Amino acid sequence: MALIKKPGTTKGIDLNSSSSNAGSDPQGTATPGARARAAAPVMQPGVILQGRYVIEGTLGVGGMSVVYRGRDLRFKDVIRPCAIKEMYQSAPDSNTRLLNLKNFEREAGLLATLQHPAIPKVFDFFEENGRVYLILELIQGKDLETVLDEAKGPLPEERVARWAVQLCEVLSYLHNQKPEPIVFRDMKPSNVMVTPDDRIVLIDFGIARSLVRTRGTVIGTEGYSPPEQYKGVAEPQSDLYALGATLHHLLTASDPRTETPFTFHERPLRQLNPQVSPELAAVIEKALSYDMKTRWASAEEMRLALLQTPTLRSGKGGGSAAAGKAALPRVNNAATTELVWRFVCEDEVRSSPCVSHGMVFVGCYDTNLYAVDAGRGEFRWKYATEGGISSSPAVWNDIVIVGSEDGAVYACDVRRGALRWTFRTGKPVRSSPRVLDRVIFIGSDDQHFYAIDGLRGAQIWKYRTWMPIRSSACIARESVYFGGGDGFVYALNIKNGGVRWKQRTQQPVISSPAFAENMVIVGSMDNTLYALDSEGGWPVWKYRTNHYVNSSPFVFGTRVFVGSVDGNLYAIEVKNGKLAWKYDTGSQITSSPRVEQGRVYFGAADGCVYCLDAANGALIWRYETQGPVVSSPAISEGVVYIGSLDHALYALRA
Amino acid sequence: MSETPPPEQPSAPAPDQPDTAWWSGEDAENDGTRPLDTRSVIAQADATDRRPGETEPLDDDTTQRETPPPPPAIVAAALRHIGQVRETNQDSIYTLVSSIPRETGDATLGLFVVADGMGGHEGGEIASRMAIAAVARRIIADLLVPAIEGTINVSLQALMVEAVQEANRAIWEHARLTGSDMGTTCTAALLLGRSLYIGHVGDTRAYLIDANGIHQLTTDHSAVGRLIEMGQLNPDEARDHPLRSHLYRTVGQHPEIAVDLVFQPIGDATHLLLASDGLWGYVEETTMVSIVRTIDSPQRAVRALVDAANRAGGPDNISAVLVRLG
Repeated sequence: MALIKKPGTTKGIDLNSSSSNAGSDPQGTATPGARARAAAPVMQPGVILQGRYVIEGTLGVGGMSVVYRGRDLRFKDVIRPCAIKEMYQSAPDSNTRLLNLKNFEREAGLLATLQHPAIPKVFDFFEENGRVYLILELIQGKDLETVLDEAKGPLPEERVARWAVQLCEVLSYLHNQKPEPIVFRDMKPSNVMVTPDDRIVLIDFGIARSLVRTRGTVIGTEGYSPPEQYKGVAEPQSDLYALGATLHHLLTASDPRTETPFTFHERPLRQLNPQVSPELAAVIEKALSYDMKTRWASAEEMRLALLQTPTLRSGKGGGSAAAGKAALPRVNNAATTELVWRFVCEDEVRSSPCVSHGMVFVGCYDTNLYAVDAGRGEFRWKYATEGGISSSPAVWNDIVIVGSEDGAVYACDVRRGALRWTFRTGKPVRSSPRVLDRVIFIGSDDQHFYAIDGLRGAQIWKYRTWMPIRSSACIARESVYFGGGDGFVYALNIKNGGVRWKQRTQQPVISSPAFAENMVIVGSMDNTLYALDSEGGWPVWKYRTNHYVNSSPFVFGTRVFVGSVDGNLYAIEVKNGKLAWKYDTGSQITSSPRVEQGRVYFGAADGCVYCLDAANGALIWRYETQGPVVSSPAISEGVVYIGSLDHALYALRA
Repeated sequence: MSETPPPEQPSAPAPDQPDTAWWSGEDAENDGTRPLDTRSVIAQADATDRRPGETEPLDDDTTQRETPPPPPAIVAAALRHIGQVRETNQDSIYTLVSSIPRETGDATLGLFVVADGMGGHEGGEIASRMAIAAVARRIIADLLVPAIEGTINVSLQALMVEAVQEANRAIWEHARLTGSDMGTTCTAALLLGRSLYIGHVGDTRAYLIDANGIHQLTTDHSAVGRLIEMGQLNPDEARDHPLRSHLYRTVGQHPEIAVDLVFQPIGDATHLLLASDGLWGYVEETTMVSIVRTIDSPQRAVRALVDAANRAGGPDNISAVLVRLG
């Protein structure tokens, strides 16, 4: 038998630190330290005890006992196998030895009083040559840890559910013992045997005991044990928590001993294994409540709940049927939303709207910057530039600023659209202005990045790169961050345009950065979303999609949201770059998401505007326009404003 | 490049308004970032404001270079001590400080690792040594060498996580071959520029010390530590808890492990301290802070930290890496 040590190790070599193992000595797969094994006095096959029990082999070595496979020789004509559990003492101090002996005697006494098909029978208990022995019914089969190891993945729901019912039955039997309930205290896969006819049997009653309401230090097994056992409290509900942990392990193959303790609620069953039916998951998750009072009141109550799950009600295939059902709603019958108004321009609206002063400002390929009444969608004014507009306007005080294909940046009066100033660059301006205080930051296809005085339209400084700049700036901590067509992400000193750092990606950067947790987050056409150290530009993490990331990330709460040309909208944890969820639109996304009130809004090349639940990526509604949507939404007072290549600007109910 | 400068634009004259009104308050675009030092911007604007909107010739590289701030003067000191009770020292420590050339100003790269081994028959010593070797090897090969060549493009979080996972695999394989139960903690702190990337498994802690006090950056991977974090046990109760140093996550005792990663700019912090539980378990945080603050030399300070743990009985091996961040 492989005796492989799992994490859960007490550091150090002082013996008293091993007290956690004092009462625990599994019959099956044991978890001893090397030292314990070296000291374990293993008897050779053929040794006969009491002139009656012959040793045939070793089943397992625990911290305090060895379990042998044996035979009872009294039965001459039949082979009557048994398990022989031998206690040995490795602790040097006499107090511990005495305690260990008492525990062993208690286990024997306890088992002798119990009668249940899922509890091994006791045949004998004796002392020989200064050692104590317990003769038990030999349980044929494998323990659940071995079953799980062999399966190399989650076990089927139906089988686990049937075991769960049996485990509730035996726990209920223990908890209903008089005068005091017996708490098993160490429910875990390695303490449950499953017989060839799929019956379960609890083994190792080493630390089970009558409920004595005093504080003890016996904890059970880390990962499965409930929090209260760390405070020396063990009630019947403690066994239900450990049962929940055991079932969670069996259904997910995610070992709780290697996870952060008490984090089952952070690792929902169905997130780890979507095949599990929601009903069974709910029963198990209730058992795993941190607070004893919110768990099932009794093993019997939990058993009844298990019997109500579709898995056991229908008798077969409940899990997969439920999973099939759950997958349905995403496809076709998605809700749509109300159109508040639609404003039609003369060409494609690639620019993203900006809402301010009760108006929506948006640029259009028909060369105009439009101002539209936000409430009713009525035309207010337009200003014609000499080229199409794909830059998105920004408002600062009473001017609205936008770049044009004609190479200029325009500032118009918000109220009437009168031109205040223009600032010429050498090539089209597709980057969008960002304003801080009085300074406007914008890039140009002429390869420069500009800081412009918003009052006069005069250049404050400029910075030269080697390719067009279409990314728009992110301003934070006295730095301005943007991407370049040369593949670099730049951090410039906001005051003088001096380079703080630049970091290369493998392809052009069109996406505009976002700033969060000291990181600059930006997409690149090398298919990757980068989170760069804002102080030095080095990649803290990278998240790779399957196509260009030209969409600009948006940070909301602990997550960053971004679209990819691969069709997915990604929600990624800011802290570590791990995927929280993704939603596949099946069409390219270059629109940049916005999150408002827990909902993510964005457009896609399939012409739809999407609204997803930011928590889980579930589709809430989508609205179909007549052309691809590359514009990014602006949300204000419950209305989503977004442009479409069908020449229209839309106002949709959020 | 020969491009003609774009024509001068006929700009509408800017309305004459008092300057203060423009930046003095309710700016809709001010998205919570710190306000700009407008005076210097305006001063500059006025200085260059001869012809509004004039762009300079494109091939005239007028880019201003930021004078890079000097890299922090890093001084690191490390010490491990057997303590007063143990017969072996199962801790291993590693430090590396290097300057790396960069176009925009040289940066500092520092790597600091403490591993606290466990397991009988010298397993602990072997495991902790293997851990620091694997981590150092990976980071030198995949970060330090590329950094010197000027091409850092790895994800630093992934690098730190993988380095510790590599150590885990190496120890796991070795333990299986030798039938050992060896394992180790591993806390590896990478300092790059002015940010820390810490890969962490176990209960060896990383602290940042600044003017406000001491801040623990890592979370101990012990159930007791987690119960303290959840407010279910108070730290005093926990000091004598039988499972205080019982770890649920270690390096080398499972084929796969999860590694915690902390990304933390150093900001105004003055010191980074890595401490094994032989130090933090027996020396109060306030004592550690006062030692670090009053003794200027990291070498002497780290000696004083170890002495303090020994004076408290030194029941365990004691390891400390102290980095003065300049």
